[in-house]
Amino acid sequence: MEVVIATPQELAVLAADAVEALLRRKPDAVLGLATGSSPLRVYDELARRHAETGLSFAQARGFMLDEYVGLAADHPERYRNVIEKEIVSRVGWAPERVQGPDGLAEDLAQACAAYEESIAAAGGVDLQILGIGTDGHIGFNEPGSSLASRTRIKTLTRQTREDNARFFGGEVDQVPRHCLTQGLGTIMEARHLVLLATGKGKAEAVHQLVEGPVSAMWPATIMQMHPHATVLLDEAAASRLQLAGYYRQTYASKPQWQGL
Amino acid sequence: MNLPRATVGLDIGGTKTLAALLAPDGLVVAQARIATTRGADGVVDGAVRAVQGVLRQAGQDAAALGGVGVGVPGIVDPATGTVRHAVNLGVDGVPLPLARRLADELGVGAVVENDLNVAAVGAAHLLPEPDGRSDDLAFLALGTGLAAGLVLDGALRRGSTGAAGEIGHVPVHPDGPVCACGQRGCLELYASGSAVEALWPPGTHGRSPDVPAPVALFEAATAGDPAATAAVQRYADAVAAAVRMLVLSVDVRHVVLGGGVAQLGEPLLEAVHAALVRQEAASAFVASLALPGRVRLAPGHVPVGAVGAAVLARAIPARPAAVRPAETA
Repeated sequence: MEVVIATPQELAVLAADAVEALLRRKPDAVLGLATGSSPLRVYDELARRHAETGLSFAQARGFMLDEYVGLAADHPERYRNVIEKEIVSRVGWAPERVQGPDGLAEDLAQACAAYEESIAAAGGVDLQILGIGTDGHIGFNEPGSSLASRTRIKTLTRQTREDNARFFGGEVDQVPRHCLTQGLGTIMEARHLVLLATGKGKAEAVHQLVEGPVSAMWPATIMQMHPHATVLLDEAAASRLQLAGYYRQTYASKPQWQGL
Repeated sequence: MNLPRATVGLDIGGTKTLAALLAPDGLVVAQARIATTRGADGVVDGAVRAVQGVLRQAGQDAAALGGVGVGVPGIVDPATGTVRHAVNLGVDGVPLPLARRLADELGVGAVVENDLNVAAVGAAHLLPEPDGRSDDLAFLALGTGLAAGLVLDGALRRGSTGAAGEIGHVPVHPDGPVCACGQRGCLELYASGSAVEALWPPGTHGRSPDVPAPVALFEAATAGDPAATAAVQRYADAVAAAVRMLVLSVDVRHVVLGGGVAQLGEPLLEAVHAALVRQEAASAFVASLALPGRVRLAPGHVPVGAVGAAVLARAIPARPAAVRPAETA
């Protein structure tokens, strides 16, 4: 696991560099997309590069991590609509090339199985962008999630619903209770994981992710088992790391040829 | 000029309906599955919901589509998109104008085909020929029954009356048991998925009835059970006979194994290869056909029939832009 501590803007540039390098090497790459506040600066940077340097997403494909269950197709907080606004429409991506789990399916279990098949048929995710919840969730894999789980329905914790209430007029009761999310086993099959975390609120989750024991109590800790995981942190999110000095030293002395 | 647009394909089976969303460049980008509802209204309603389900994943609605294609198990008039007879869907009295009803519901053009024909088109799409050669294959469905869909020299071959590829009802053992079709010893009795169930009935040999017969049979053979090994050979010989029949009739370049039994994957392919090699040993003529190299498995992780239906929908001409009704004089 590689840990980089920098300013939020520098982190966004690093993540965008990784995406750009992938797209230049493999124009039909499969990107894993996350919603939430963490990746927003990355999407801004990618949109800028699309507009200014012509970085092309035309042949790429995208798979979202998760979706609320039951939000109407035109609800602005439905994640497929959020991702459309935050990245898809800004980089000239054909909408049909970006998929999310169907939170309105009549048979949610079948929808989850079909979503897994779609990812497999695409050849798997090349680069997965991730955020992390204050309780250590990635995707919507809340504490207690099976470390081998696949795409399935989950119940959101009270904490997550309170964290997300700001998108629903501040009303926790407006936040859906259920979601569909790629499982930890699904996420772990992506070939490169790039997790971004900023702000003091994420410090404990980040400490557990990087330095804690692998445990379903902190689902993101499964990333310690991934052969290619990058954790991009600002100073506040890194504030509880015990070996922060070592991570800084490692990154500062990293060979030039080695990307993320 | 009309830009190519995304299409949706459906494969409506007796129990489940599979949907695929095909991007304009031919990439399968999403899939969905729902339970099939029987009866004319149920089929139409289920088809609409399946289309909407696959579109929702991409944040799209039907207005973005170039058309919808549908494969159904039954007798279809592709020219009009009418289902004449589909017992498994509960459509067997009044013909169902499925294409027209879907077009009315969704506001896009629709085409309807027999399910084996869409599977053959889907296999050709997913297994493209190198060097720009025309697709040339038979999709051999090893399901409840046994039949093949044919794409010859790049074109779907339905036959003069739609019966092309119905090789399951070629009698191969004149003294064999009576087939549902009235003849004796039809190939379907030996090479279909039902034939596997007859060879190795679910719930026998110490296995739960929930384990599909092909899985139970092939696992027992792998574990060294001599009765299972013999049964696998007998079954593979029958599938090999079907392959030989298709090649000798129309000399297709590839025979693609599909249907429920083909979900066994490599073990089935290996058994059929071995059977074809055994047949080669006995006949220089058969050996000259190079049959083992022609057989392949249907691609995994994609609903092949639904993909084929979506491919057929690409041929639907773009609808003229809505004409504003003339104002009353």
